[in-house]
This record gives sequence, C-alpha cells and structure tokens, in this order.
Amino acid sequence: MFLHIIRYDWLLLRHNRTLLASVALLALFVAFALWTGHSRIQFQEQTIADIGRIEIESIAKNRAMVADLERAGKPFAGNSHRDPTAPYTVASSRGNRYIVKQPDPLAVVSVGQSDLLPYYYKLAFAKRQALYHEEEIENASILYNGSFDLSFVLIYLVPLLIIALTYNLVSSEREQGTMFMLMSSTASLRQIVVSKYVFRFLLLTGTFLSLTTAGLLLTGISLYNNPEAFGFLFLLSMGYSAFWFGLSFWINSMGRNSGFNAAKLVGIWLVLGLLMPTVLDVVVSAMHPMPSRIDLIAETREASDKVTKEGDQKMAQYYGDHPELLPKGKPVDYKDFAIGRVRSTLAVEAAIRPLEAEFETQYRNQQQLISTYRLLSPMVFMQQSLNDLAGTGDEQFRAFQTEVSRQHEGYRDFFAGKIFQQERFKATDYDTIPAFRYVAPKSILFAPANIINLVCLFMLTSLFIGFGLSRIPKIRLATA
Amino acid sequence: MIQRINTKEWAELTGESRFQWSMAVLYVLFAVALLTGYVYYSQTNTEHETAQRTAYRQWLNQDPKSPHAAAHYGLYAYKPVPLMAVLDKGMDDYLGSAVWLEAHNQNDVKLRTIQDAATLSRFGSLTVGFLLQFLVPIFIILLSYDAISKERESGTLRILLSTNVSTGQLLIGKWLAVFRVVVLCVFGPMFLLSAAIMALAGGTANFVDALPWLTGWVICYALYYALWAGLGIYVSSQVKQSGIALVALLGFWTFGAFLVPRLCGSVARLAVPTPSALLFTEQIISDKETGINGGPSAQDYAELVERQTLAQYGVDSLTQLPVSFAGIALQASENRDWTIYDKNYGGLFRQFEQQERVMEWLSTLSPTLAMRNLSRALAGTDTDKHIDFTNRAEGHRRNIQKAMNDDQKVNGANLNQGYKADAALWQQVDQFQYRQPGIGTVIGNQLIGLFTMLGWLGLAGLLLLRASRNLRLD
Repeated sequence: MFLHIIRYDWLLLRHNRTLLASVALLALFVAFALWTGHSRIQFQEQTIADIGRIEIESIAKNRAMVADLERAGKPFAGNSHRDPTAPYTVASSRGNRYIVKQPDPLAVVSVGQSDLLPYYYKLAFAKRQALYHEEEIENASILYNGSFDLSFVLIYLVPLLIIALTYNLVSSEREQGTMFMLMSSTASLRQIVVSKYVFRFLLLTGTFLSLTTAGLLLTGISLYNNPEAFGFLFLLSMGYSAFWFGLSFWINSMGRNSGFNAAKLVGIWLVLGLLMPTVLDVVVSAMHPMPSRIDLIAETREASDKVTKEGDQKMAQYYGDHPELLPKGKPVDYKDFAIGRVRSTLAVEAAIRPLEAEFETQYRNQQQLISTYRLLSPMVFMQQSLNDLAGTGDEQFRAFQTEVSRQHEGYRDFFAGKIFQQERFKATDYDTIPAFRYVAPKSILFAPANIINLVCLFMLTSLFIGFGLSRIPKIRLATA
Repeated sequence: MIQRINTKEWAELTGESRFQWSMAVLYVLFAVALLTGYVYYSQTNTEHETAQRTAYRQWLNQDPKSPHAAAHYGLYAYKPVPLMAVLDKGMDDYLGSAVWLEAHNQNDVKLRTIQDAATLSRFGSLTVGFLLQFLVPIFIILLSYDAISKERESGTLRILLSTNVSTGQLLIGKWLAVFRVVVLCVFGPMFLLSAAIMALAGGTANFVDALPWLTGWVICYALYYALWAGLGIYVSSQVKQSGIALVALLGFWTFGAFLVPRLCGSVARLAVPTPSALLFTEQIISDKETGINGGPSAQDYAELVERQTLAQYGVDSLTQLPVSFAGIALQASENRDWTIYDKNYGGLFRQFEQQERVMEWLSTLSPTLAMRNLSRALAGTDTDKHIDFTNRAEGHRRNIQKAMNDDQKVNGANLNQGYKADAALWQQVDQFQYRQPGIGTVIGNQLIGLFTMLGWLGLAGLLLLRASRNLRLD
C-alpha cells in the first residue's frame, strides 16, 4: 500500500513545481555552502603553510647572521634593539615560534567561531595579553552577517523547504475538493498522509545527504578516515529534518486551512530560530556579564608603571632571591633594557591574573546557563553540535587557547634564564629554541551534550508524530 | 472616501486577536531591548570615558624620561559610544573599541566584545533596531496579507466596488490604514519611549546633539514601513487565497532577512579576498626592511638621513650638530613608516570598502538589509565610522610622535640619549577627542541604501497603481 501511494504521489509531484524548485534550491544552497566553506579552509591551510615556511626561514636567516658575526668575531653593529645575539630580541622578534590549530577534517561543515577566534598564535616573550591580539583579518560586516555554510543551510533553510513542501499536505486536499476521494479509498487517511510524509522525508533528506556526501568527498575528505564524524552528521541531519517533518505533520493533522498551517510553522521557525537565541543571549549576558577588557588595559599600565618606578632596588632584591639567575663571572648590568622589560612583563601578568580569572569564571557561568537552556531551541543546540562536529566550537577554541598559554610558558622559560644571566644568544642556541605542536583533544562528538541533543530531536519527533496520528482520524470532510 | 476606509480598517484591524497578541509580544521584546540598550550605553560610555581620562592622566604623570621612551609608553584612544547606540548598537560588538598609540607601530583597533562571547551571541542581539528592522515588518505582514484577499474570499469585494469607491481609493485607503496602525500603535509610541530613554541616558546636551540623527532615523523607518505596508496590500490584492499571500510575504521577508545577508557576505569575500593577517604583517615588516616604491632600504635610509642632516647643518660629524640627531633620525624613520602604513592599511581599508560596496549592491535585493545599514550608519555604529575613528586615532599617534621627536631634536641637543623631558612636554599632547563625521557625510556614504529604500517604495507604489487598474474581483 505504501509503495502504491508513493507511486501516485510521485506522479503528482513530478508535475508540481514546488518539489522541483525545493530540490533545485537545496542543491544550489549545498553547493554554494560547500564551495565557500572549501575556499575558507583552503585559505586557512595556505596560511598554515605560510606560517611553517616563515618560521623556518626567519630562524635560519637569524642563525646565519649570528654565525657570521661569530666567525668574524665582531659584535652586532646595528640598533641594539635588533641585536640577534641578545636573548630578549630573539625572544621578542627574531626567534618567534608559531603554534597552530589545524582545521578538523569536517571543518567545512560549520564556520562556527573559526572566523572570529585565532587558529594560530605567534609566540613571543611579551606579556601574555598579547596573545589575545592575534586575529585573522576579516571585514566586520562579513563577520556580523555570518557565513553561508552547510550548518546554516541545514539549520535555517532546510526547515523552510520542509515547510514549503508540506504545509498544505492535508489541507490542500480539502481546499481542492479531493478530500472525499481520499476518504473513500481503501487506504485510511492516516495511511495516505503518513506515506506522503515518509516519502517527502526520504526525498529531501536523501537529497541533502547525498549532495553533502558527494560534496565532501569532492573536496577530498575521506569517509573512511572519519566514520564517526560522517555518521554523526547523518544522524543529526536526519534527526533535525525529522523534527520539522514531524512538526508539520502534527500541525497538518489539526485539519485547519493551508494559511493557518503556513503561518504556524513559519511562526514556530521564527520563534525558535530568531527570538529564542537572541532573548537567551540577552538573559545570559545580563545574568553573567563579562568583565571589561578595558579594565585590563588600565591594570596593565598601572602594573608596568609600578615596576618602572621601583627601579634598580627591587631588581637587586630579585637577584638576591634568585641567585641562580646571576650572570656568571660578571657583575649585573642594571641598565640592561631587557631585564626591565622582562620584569615588567611578569609583573603585568601577575597583576591581571585575577581579572583574567574573572573572565574565565563568567565564561564558565555563561556556558553553564546556555547548556541548560539550549534545549529551548533546536537551532541553538544544532549549531552547537555541528560546531563540535566541525571542530569550530567554543570548547575547541578554549582548549587551544589554554594549551597555547601553557606552551608559551615553556617558550619563555627557555629565554628567561639567558636574559637574567645576561648571556649572548649563540648560533647553536637557535637550534634549541623549543618548537610547538598542538594536538587537539580527542573528539568531543560523543560528549553527553551531543548525545542528549540527538535524543532530544528524536523524542520530540516521536511526540509530534504521536499527536498527529491521534488527531488525523478526527479530520472531517469540511471545516465545521 | 479614503478617510472612511481608513477609519473602518482601523477599527477592524485593532480589534483582531492577532493584532493584540502580536502587539503584546512586540512590546515585551521592545521593553527588554530598550533596557538592554540603555544599560549598554550607560555602562560602556562611562567605561570608555573613564578609561580615556585614566590613560591621559597616566600619560601626564610620567616621570621625567626621554621623549622617545614616552612615545613608546604612548596613549590609548577609546572609541566613544554614540547616544544613538541606545537604539541600535549595530556592529559595535564586532568592531574594536580601543587602540594603543605608540611609537613605530600603527596598531589595530582591538577589544571586540564578540570575542569574549559564546557562539550564542552570533545568532544576533536583541536591540531596538533589530526589533524595528526585522520584527515590525512581520507585524505589518500579519496586518496586511488578507486586507484585499479576505474581501475577495468572502465576496464583499464585488459589493464594495459596486458602491462609489474606486479601486485606487480602496487600495490606498487600506494601505494608509495599515501604515497608520503601525505608526500609531507601534512605531510612534516606541519612538517616543526610545527618545525619552535616550534623553535620560545621555542628558539634555547629548540628546540635542543626537536630534538630527534621530530625525533621519525616523524618516527612514517611516519610509520602510510604508513600503512594507504597500507590498503587503499589493500581494494581498493579487491572490485568490489569503494563505498564499501570507506565504509569499513571509518568503520574501525570509529571503531578505536571512538569505541575502549571508549570501552577500560570502560573495563579497569571494569577490574581494583580503590577505591573511600573517602575510599582511609580514608585508609591513618586509616593506620596512627593504623600502617601498623603489625607496631606500632601512639601512640606506638611515645613512641617507645622516648625510642629509650633516649637509643641512654644514658640519662634518654628528657630534658637531647644534641639535639632537636622535630626534631627527627617529622622526625620519617615522615619516618613512607612515608611507608604509598608508600603503598597507590604506590598501586593506580599500579592500574593505570594495567588499562593502559589493554587499551594498546585493542588499538592493532586500529592503530589510538596506534599512539595517541605514539604521546603523545613522546610529554611528557601522564600519564607515569605525574606519574614520581608526584614521583619526592614527593621526593623533603621528602628532604625538612628531611632538616627542621635535622636542628631542631641539632640547636634547648635546645630551642625546641622556636627555629627559618632563611634564611640560607631556602637556603639549592633547587628550584624544573623537568627533564623528557630520550627518551630511554619513548620508552621502549611504546613497545606495537610501535609493534602495526609495526604489522599493516606488516599486510598491507602481505595483499598487497597476493593481488598481486590473484588480480581479474573484
């Protein structure tokens, strides 16, 4: 019976422009999203390749310069702030290392926070605050508008196509006067409507998934190497479109006219996708406001001024506390510019630590609140899950930043000893500047939150279908 | 006659339940948005003003030190928040708010609020502007989609037109009625409340300064609502079933509010690619090292400056100079860097502008987007103003460098590096004061948006005119 109904439905749909238009639009959207996504990833990969090249070239060039000086037995003749044999100069500009977050295999799926938060950091001695100041160049208007990525297509556009395909599935039969024919057939109305829904679900989701898979494979992403990510993408897409089909089924089963159905469905789409997230955002930032970065600037300045005012006296005390840092076989040169800078850097860091901790606390509080209320809008939690899938979510960038801060300490420790002991930086020292590699933590795809999101989608869908099934038999030939 | 239609429609529209509940939703959201805007302005503005004063005080309180050391210490410039940001904070979260004015480097404007926010904030923020640009049109659609079609569906259209009402009068009457409901029930009260809160937040003087902008803002929104009401009535006049009019209008809204913005961003990025921050920085470093436009390398330039200075003062060695060579050399190197920054940042800003142009032309497809752009430009929370701020802050930085280096040159003679300047010099540097461009300049930059709006309004008028000639009765 199902196949029978589908066959006739198909014959009808073939002549229906809505279906053709929906599928064509979907294909267009998916293709455009994957194309822009792919070009973005290529841009990032190119930048990462440039980083590798620049890092190696720069260190090699400076090493050669020092080696030449050593061979000639001459000191550096240029500006003392550019001296390649001064450890502080090496640490701040001539011996920079980079630390890079490679895009995840499925990064093309969702831009997430990757257009806003840095995916690489240049390590230099300077105060850690500088770490926040490395960001990709991007026109703010483009950032503001958001990207046309696959997650946008799935989260916002697919539901609209579903609404366009189904809002009048039951009501049009009555409005066209064909309802009595359906009711007099051997199949029950319930059977017919369910078959139509299942058919459209398979058609739309099938189109979306096959186009997406084809596109991903075309951009060189291996299905074989990323089975979990692909599997999760499939489950999410199916769950999410099932949610909208289910909702439309329920609304349709109320037996009202097409206009009512369309208005209800689009209204729900608006509330879930536009109102819920913005209102939730207002609530979250009102309850846990972020401290101000501007205070951070004032704090930074106060701290560095204090160090400058304290002068040599404190420095002598510092060496007293750290005799291992005393220069070997020569007196301390208190006029050394580098030591002043290092001390001020460390003092500033210590001074802003409480404020930074406050940022961290507020961030955690906000995340807590969002994770509690995210289930109010499938748009919000779908975005979260898709970002996790693409490796572009808040958590992934947090993890990267934390790791950068940790590795930065190692980079600095390497130089700090040499600076305090007022050593020269030798050519061979260039070979031992620590290099860094970031390995992203194991996939957070199967974190409880993502599983709950999925379960939630399927539960809501079942609920809608249940409501719908019980309502359909009550549909009358004409509205009362 | 139009007046009578207007009165009848008013009574009917305001009596409906869909009118009442959507009004309730709008006003609740409006209250939240206005309060958020008020808090945002008061807090951020105070914060920026305090920070600006602190930065200047820290500058004045510097111990005696060499002028160049002071230039390195530098000043921070903060972008003031305009009073109109109470209504529409536009892109403020996405644009930086502070820049460090220091020796040698033109820094980027930093501290973008959005970077501290979670993904959730990227769904958009609830401001009065958001409500007026995106939600009020939906309200208008709800009021107008069945304005004509319900008369047709219930057969009253035939009866109506058999009286001495002309089709044109009917359409215009309904158009005016919807517009009147929107203005009197939604936009007008909201505008008055907004203005009151602005006056409260900014004080009388600031409020008076903001009045021309506010006026421009009101005119733009009035045009915007007129065009939506016109489109709604037109679509309603063309369909057999009201449902289809609703779907078509909501579809058009979605296209303009959701699809076009993302589409135009992606297209602009593909059409005008910007360099990576890495290569941009590398380019500046390499330009400084090797020189631009066939100019000398850093090394040659330093030697050239030395030779020229010796020749200018007619002496053989730097020690014989009556002035401090350090001041001359530092200023010469600043001058050279300025051309390099002008080339690189100028080029980048031009690319941004080209991207903006691409987006503006694409937003002619969407009155919603055109309105959004106009609204934030008039509120002073858009990219144009940001770039203007950036340029002025850089101008201030250059003045500081010049003042420090000139002082070193004149007063640092004989002492060279040993020279220490004091508070008298620090006081020569003014507090950084940003004044936003005049309303004429801002409107001049928004002509595409303005014409888009007028174009859509004209189109709505023409369509209604056409409909009045060949309105189908059933």
